Amino acid sequence: MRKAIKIENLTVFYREMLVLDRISVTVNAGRITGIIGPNGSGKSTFLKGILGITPVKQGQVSFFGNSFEKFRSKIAYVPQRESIDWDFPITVSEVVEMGRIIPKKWWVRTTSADKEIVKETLEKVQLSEFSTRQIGQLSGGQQQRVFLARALAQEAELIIMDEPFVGIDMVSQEAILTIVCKLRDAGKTIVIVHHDLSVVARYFDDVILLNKKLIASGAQEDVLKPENIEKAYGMTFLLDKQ
Amino acid sequence: MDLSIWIVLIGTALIGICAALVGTFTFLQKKSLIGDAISHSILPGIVLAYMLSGQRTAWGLMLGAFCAGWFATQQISWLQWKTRLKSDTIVAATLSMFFAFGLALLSYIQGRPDDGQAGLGDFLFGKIAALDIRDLYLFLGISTVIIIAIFLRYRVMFSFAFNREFMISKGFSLRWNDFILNSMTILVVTMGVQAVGVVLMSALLIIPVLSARMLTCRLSQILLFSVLLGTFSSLLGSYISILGANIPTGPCIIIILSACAIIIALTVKLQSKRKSHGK
Repeated sequence: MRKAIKIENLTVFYREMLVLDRISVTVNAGRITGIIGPNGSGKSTFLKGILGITPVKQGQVSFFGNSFEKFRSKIAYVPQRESIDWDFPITVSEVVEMGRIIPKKWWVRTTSADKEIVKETLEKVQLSEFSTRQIGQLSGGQQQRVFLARALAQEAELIIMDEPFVGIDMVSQEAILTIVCKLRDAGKTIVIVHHDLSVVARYFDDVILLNKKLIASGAQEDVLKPENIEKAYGMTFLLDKQ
Repeated sequence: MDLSIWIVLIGTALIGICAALVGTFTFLQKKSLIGDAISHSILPGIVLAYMLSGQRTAWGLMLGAFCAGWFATQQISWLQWKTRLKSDTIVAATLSMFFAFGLALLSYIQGRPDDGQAGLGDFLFGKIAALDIRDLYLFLGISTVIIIAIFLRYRVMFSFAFNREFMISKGFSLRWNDFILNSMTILVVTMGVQAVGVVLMSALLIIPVLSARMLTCRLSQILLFSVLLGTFSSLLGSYISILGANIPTGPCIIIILSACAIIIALTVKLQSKRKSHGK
């Protein structure tokens, strides 16, 4: 299977505290990979570390055999809900337009071709009628779809989502998962940080189980065994495999 | 009208426009306090520039102000990087430290028998009537730089303000973004202190944009409203200050600006009440 992300010895410190300890793992291309672990296990730091948002102490990361610098334009990052200011004066289409701006240009502007792509992607996530709304006026599920639209507008190969299902209802969760599955079927690689084991069991193809160290990784049915979960969470969880 | 009045009015309008433009982005990036820190911090720069050059030229004083503002922002960034202190604590400490140093220097030259303080006290509360044609040329230059920079970079600054992590992951430089915004803030503050003074300058950055934000949630409209409000208040304030003998320009402008903000806030509140009653 093609490797989308290859991580070797990733070690991250926050000030003097060790957050991630020598993580070596691979993410398969064209699959949905869940990153799971208890609160404070370093899941978000893991994402931020591989994306160059948080400085790393040591470790190598490659994306489809390329360096991060070479591949970064093909990576879309969907942030955690709590890191967003929902009162910010930005409209739905302006958020999606962010996917089209490229660095290293003096004059950063939106072309008419960009506007066309933004329109198309909003149609794909069924949010066309909300394009001029301020982002805070949408429901939690719709807001997550806006960020997915931004990833689509970026024409990303790899979509990385940080806790996308926190604070949204079941119907919106299903709607987002449907889009994510469609993207996977279209050949995109999706990485999702998540804590709800029941959803993981149903939708994710692969799982990386973390708690400061790598506990287990691979196909979800191999990883989500009681002994691994106990190792990560320190107690046994009942898995709801409906 | 007298040429000197025209100079004052054009100069004031430029300050109002630039402060509103730059203020919008510092407000969106939640860095309004940095504007306050910079305006207080440039006082020692102004006084030191005067002490070193021995004369009160706009270029010299503004260079001193720019350097001091730059040192203050560097100190803030360095402390944020190296310590665990909260950023408002760091900003407040830096602001007081530089301002105290500036006041001490000002008192020192005030006490000197040879040349007094050469009107440097005007920088505390602003005195726009002191503006001459050379200052105006300098203002025009600075305004052009600020307007061009905003025109070229507003989308990046706006996107950084909304979602910093996304922009970093795309390869935009946070340092470069901060550098551009800080430099623009320092330039506009350096320009504005002549009219508004170091104590009240941050109000000219913050109040127009927060008033505009109450009226709309579209960036283009926020920029337009804050520029209109900033320019109107600056013009009216300085005009009243020129007419009335003993009122410094800074307080005049800020009182008018605040009155406009209060009227806008009350109108918006009243309208939303009417709407909810209508439902």
